[in-house]
Amino acid sequence: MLRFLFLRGLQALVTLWVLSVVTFLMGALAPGGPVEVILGQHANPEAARQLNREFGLDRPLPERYARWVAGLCRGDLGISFRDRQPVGPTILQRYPMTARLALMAAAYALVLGVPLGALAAWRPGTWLDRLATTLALAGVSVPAFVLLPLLVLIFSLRLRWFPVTYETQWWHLLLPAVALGTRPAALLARMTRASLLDTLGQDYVRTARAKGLSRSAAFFRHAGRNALVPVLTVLGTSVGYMLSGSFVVETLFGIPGIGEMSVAAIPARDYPVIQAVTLLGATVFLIVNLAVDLLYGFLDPRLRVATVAN
Amino acid sequence: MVSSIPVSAWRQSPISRLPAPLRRASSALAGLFLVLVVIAAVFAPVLAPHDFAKQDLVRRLQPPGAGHPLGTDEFGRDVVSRLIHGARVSLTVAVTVEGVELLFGLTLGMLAGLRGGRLDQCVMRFTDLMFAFPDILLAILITGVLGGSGFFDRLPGGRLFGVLLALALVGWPGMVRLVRAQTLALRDKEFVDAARALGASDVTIMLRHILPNILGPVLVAATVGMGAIVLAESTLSFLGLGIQEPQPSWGSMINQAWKLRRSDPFLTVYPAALLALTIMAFNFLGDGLRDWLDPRSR
Repeated sequence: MLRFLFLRGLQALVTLWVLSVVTFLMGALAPGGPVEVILGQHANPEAARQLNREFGLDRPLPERYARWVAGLCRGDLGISFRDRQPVGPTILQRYPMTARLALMAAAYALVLGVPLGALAAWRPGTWLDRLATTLALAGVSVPAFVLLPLLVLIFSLRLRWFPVTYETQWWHLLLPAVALGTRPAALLARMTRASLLDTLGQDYVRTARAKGLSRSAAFFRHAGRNALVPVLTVLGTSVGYMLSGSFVVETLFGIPGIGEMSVAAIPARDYPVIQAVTLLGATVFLIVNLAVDLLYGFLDPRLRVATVAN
Repeated sequence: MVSSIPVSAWRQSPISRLPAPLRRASSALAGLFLVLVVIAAVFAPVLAPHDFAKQDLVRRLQPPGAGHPLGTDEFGRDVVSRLIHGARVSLTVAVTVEGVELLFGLTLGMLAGLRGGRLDQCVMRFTDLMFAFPDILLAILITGVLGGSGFFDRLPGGRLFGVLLALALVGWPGMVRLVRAQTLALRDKEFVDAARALGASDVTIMLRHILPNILGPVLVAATVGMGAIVLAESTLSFLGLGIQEPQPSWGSMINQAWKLRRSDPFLTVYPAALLALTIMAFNFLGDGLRDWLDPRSR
């Protein structure tokens, strides 16, 4: 288990390093910088040189990369081109909103998706199963930024149950959370159904049934636990979807989170902000998937051996 | 899914004369809808009643009526024409990107699966790396940083090229993984051994023996994948990173119409509904294909 932990951790670190290089080069090699953002196209050459020096852009690329990484390790995410404020504190101030939205979306996805999938697997082939699978397939197809406008038009503008944009209350986040969580919920339902049906057909479940175990006990205790493994994967990859989804959802609903900030930074070519958010998003994604992998090994010892053997 | 209809019943119905994947109502509807979208995309210049870019500031935000079946937008442009041309953008991107993914996925995947060894190791490690990164975030980074710098404006196709490049770049590892796994399952089968014993080259084995046998799952993945590409393109365009004005994309139409959600909500509903229906159609068609190709999964 220790060896498994070490190998997966090492792999994650290498991945993170490659990502940092890609993110850095992307921002460093793209034309434009603080001079264009702050001073405009026709800047005084002397002022431009001084500004570049202030941001450390007059140094060679390897040194800039080293400084950037060293800063990241200290928690310094760089200085925004636009307002010359450090990016770190801004992100720190905005992330609770994004985290709250993502957690609400994930909770909604779990509470809706897993029971729906289990219900379908309980009586496969019946009208209930067909309804659940159709609903799930439809849910997979409706992205957050299509669902949110439709929800807002119905529940905010017509029924007036919710505000049109985020104000101050936590329940204002319900509509965006539902919009963001529907696709993960549908994916969870599909995965739960498929993996339950798969494990229910396995020999050990049949043996348990033959020894007189009731259907529901076999379903929940024996099949349920192993069926959880693939379900976890979906939860892990959904984090990536929710990250990008928060970009559009926050923009549409006026939620002051990290997504909204990034979308504003893109047309302004505020590279330090874009770089910081990209790397941070990738890191969160990496950590969640690492955690999922470790849980895997915990839930199913066979997988531990397989990974180390590779 | 276990069909509750007795075998004799569907054998006689006219539905049975349809190609097998379309026998299910949901798949048939999905197929029909996609045919309509394809027709709209291919014949967009003929079908669109107006020029999608022509502004008419006197007739801004007209309600649906004669001349403009769905009204006009904030610049007085015909909404129907823009929706039709939006279909063209979506499908162009979906077909091109999926084509590139198939090309790379099939060649690299079959080679890695068949040859194994160092090539396989390299391909697998690289796809591992790509999978560690949230797809759309990378696409946003590419189009946002390179596109914002005007990099793509100098290339043929402009920003459209940027979208194609970004989506193809983040999309192909999934296809490679699928093809490789399918190839691995076939590599040691007797018919491949037999072909090799008869002196067939790797290329012959790939094209004549492996490819026909993995085409089914690849086709399903490609169908579902096109839906995902349509979604990704509209997300980029919604963020202002994809197709640029005056060219319409469903994503950028949603973005523009959203400002007017209080006064003209339907300007948002049309592109949003079309987008959801198109992605749904790809998914339901893919599902129908899967059931047809692999009856065990029913």
